[in-house]
Amino acid sequence: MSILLAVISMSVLALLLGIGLGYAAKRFAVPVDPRIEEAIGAMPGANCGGCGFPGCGGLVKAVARGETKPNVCAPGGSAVAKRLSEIFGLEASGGAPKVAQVRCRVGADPDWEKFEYDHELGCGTAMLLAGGVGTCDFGCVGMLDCVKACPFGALSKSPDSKRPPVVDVSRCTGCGICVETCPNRVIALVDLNRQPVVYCRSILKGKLAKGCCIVACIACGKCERNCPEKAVSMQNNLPVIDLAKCTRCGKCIEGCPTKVILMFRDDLKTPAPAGTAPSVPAAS
Amino acid sequence: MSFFGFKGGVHPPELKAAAGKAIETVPPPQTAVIPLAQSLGKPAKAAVAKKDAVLRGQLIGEAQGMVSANVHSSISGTVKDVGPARGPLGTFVECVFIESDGKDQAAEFKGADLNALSPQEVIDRIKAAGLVGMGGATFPTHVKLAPPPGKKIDTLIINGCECEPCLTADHRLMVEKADDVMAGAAIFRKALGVARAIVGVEDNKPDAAEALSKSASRHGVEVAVLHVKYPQGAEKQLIKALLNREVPSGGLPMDVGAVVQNVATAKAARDAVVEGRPLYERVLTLGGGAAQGNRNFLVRIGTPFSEVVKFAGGTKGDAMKIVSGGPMMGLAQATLDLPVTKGTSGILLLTERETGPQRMFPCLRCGKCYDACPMGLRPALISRCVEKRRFDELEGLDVLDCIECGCCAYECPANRRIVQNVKRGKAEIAKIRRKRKEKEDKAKAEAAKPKA
Repeated sequence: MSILLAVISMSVLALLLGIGLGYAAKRFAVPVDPRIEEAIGAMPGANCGGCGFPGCGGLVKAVARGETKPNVCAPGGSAVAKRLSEIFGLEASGGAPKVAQVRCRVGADPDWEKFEYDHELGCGTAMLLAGGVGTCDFGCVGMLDCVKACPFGALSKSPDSKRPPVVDVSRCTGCGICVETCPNRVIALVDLNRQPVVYCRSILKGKLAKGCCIVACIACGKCERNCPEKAVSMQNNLPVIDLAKCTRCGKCIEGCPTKVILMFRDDLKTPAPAGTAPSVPAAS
Repeated sequence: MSFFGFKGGVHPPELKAAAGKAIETVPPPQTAVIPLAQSLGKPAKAAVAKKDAVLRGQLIGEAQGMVSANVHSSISGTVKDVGPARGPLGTFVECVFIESDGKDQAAEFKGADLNALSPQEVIDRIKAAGLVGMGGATFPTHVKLAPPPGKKIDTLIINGCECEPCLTADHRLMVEKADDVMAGAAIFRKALGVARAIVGVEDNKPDAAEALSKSASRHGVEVAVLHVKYPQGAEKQLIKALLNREVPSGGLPMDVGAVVQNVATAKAARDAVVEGRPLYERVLTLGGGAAQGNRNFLVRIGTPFSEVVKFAGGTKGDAMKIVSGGPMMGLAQATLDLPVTKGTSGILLLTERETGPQRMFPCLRCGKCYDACPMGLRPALISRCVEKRRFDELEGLDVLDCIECGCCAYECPANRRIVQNVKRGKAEIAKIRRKRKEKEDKAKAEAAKPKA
């Protein structure tokens, strides 16, 4: 009899609690974006944190909120980027993946330091003093802040320490952390396909620019005049190339007197630009 | 006059070898390179074009906006170019290049009688003359003289501390032009409409204090002698030492009813108001072990450092470091091809021995920098946060209150580059705040969208 009592009372209790829980689950349900569930399933699931977000779920949520681009997952690569873009209906980052490029050829100028500086302190600190260590105030400071900041190890010190860091295109995911880190905004993201890139940030002109660095853009405007498609325009003493108009003919590169415009990823045809050329041969 | 002192601070060797040497005048340069950005705030806009003829004292740069100062030509001649050149910070700034015609012809200066002017007219004259704080911070003077309504100013302090080692420019100015400095103090007092004006002088300059005392009663300005301690010449520390008032964190001297002006600025204010002469020259000290003795010079704005050094007889021995300003707060420079500006209080050519030990050791956690910091900050912690790139933690450490006096780095037994790191920290905080604002603006714009 006493067993029966216990069974009944437990059953009643279970029923009541079950009804309560069932009601609460419906009443207090948090709507979950079904896309997020789907996207998490598409992620590699390593939870490496390399993207800078707390695990794969964190990245997916950030993509859903529009805080980051879908192509920052290094282990997943382009397949995951494509899948994420599909799920969230984003443009697959303009087709070609982006990679960072250090737009400075200071390595080609052997005589670039204007004073001695404690290299331990980093680029951002060095820039606060007399316009930076280099004779050019606008180029690479060369103290490797970007190398330390890169979560994927895609940037590394050039074999010659005086040169700007080298970008390993096969590792770069185009996350843009180095772009934010560089105090001079020397690093930019470029499409991983054949295109002319201006490897100089100096806004000085002529003699003044050349006095700072032998591989500086002297704002002569020859590239602007040579371009048959009128894709090049001079802005703030630097050429800006409209890639939609550009036919990759290379006329701007031929005419450049200081060789600051180079064809990106054309390294199989021409000698590599000092210090800044992608260090790996063409990958997919 | 009571003396209250301030927390922290250090006692570096004074090295005031030029204290007894009269001010010498450097001849006007052949080419003056005059930066248009010589004050805090917005750079001035060029008021002359290439090939224009200019006279000494003629306006060549017009102040832009509220915090900005006029710039005047320091020689007569023709404008050779308006373009970028290395300015006071060693970075490229817009400059006016003036080729001298050798005549050094002055523009017409209209003098005035102080008694006939209203306070607003006094401020207007000071604004027109392009006055900035000549102690080194180069804050436009007219802005300090016009506090926003609601801020009640009761005391004017004239800063004659010159606590930086080596520099004696203000000291000599006080000795040789004591009456002009006092007249300038009276002008500031009139502009602010305050009853009390005090000149603070450190007790290592008894001749300056004596010279000032002679004309003190005539202008109704008090002279206070303060015990030597660096950085007494920092305005917040001077207010504490003289008035026992503490400027709140993030505040300005006007929050505690005080305005501080440098003695050189006071002298320039007299020239501007009484003679109508704008600010186009200043006194600076050339010093350091690699200079031919420490000396004081009256130099035209826009004279290259190299010409000042050449006039003084060149260098001797090996100069290891060029510093613009004093040894504690000055900025190391990479070249002597920099123009003297309104804020250049000294040029130092230091030898290797004087630059001190260079090797950096790990932080010992000794806490000497905590004791030395006159602002009561935690320098070692700030420095470490910057080194470890933990910029988000800096905002809680009151980094923006740092006056960059260098006491922490001076005391540091491990030679850590604390001030450099703090400066970086300030820049990073500005970056973080800018980004946060951008994000907020974006969110606001998005929130406003559906309504529209």
